[in-house]
Amino acid sequence: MDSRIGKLYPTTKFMITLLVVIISIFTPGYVLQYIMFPAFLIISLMAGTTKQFLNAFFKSIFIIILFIFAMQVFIITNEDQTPIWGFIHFSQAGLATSLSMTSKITAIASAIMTFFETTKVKDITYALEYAGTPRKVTFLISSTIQLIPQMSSLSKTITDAQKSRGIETEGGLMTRIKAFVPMLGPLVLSSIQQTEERVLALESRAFSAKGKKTSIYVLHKTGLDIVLEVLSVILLMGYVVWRVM
Amino acid sequence: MKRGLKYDFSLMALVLIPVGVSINVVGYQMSQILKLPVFIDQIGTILVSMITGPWVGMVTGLLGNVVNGMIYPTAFGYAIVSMLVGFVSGFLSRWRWYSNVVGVVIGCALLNVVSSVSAAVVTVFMFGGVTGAGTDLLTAAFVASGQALWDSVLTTNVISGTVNTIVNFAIAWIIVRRIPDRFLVKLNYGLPYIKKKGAKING
Repeated sequence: MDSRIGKLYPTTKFMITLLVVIISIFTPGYVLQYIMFPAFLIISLMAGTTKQFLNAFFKSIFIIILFIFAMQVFIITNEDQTPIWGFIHFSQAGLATSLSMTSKITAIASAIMTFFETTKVKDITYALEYAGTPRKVTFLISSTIQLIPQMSSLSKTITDAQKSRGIETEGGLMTRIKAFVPMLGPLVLSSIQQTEERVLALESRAFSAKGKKTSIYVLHKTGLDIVLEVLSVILLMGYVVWRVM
Repeated sequence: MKRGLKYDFSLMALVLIPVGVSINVVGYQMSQILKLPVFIDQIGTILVSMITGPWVGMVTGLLGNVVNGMIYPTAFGYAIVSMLVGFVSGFLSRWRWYSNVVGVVIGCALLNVVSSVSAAVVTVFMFGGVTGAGTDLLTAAFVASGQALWDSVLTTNVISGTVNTIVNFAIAWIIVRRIPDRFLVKLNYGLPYIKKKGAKING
């Protein structure tokens, strides 16, 4: 995240992501979309986020792509199918459908994954706030991101405590479902107890006050940002003109 | 009493949304720890929508999927499903369906239909009928037996969704009943769940 790409202004990266998404959706064929995957792999290599990129890709996107091919090519009934064995058959139309579908999924997912992996949430909320998004919205996003790991570790503590009191977390299905409420209940109740304090804390720091607030964390657009933003707008306009003509 | 967006999004509700999203995540982690065969990731959405209304519930659902989508982008596609669950559940709570058995049964059925149909639309049109989970085998079996893709996905969703909705709702409901009255009083939609008899607020 401290790389050259990580330091770009969030809006710049968002515009490039949006451009890729638009181009991927409206370009026919699948070659361009599949090229996006190695392209974003190189970008994440430059940004130093290759590990997260590949990890997320193989955990979610890759499985879906495999399943789409299996389902569309071999199982769904098409008119041009040639039987192989039992209900399994090969279909050219299914192959075409899955190529166009998976290439779009790959391209869009690669762009979105790279955007979030190279951009700090703090930067996103700052850029949103600077662009005039209501403070309530940015507060929601940043506080959610902060709260999840906190609650996660608190839940581990509660689970350990309940286990030491003799709650059964193994055994039949009903036993395990019954274990759910004593594990989750204390977590919810303690977090509700904290919300009251948090409301007071926010109010005492003038959260609801009207008027402009300053931020101690500041991001600046560099020359590169402006060049890239102008370039992506020109590319988008060029693309629209090319597609419509 | 006028119930606009501004009324719904009180500071209390605003602080509860991150709690709801975290409960979704933690609930899912716990169902993995306990090796439950159901997909429990909407406890927080249902819980928050019950006590703070449809709009806040919808935002909770959306935010949950956005946070997930930052790591696994496929979650963005299913944001509409979580949003609808929160929205419908919030209205059911506002109409006080959750305070009697008949309402709970019909409400759960309605929630199941809404989430199954919307999830099926996303699965078929965005991901070609697959979700990347084990339930795809069931879909494949239905397709292999000669059903259309749309029917197969919908049938799979209704079957798995029934169990999921019941478990999600049951846990959320049990937890709401454990929230102390003095906290429910402060929430715009907490009145139906207050245990002390004779409680009445202008509304």
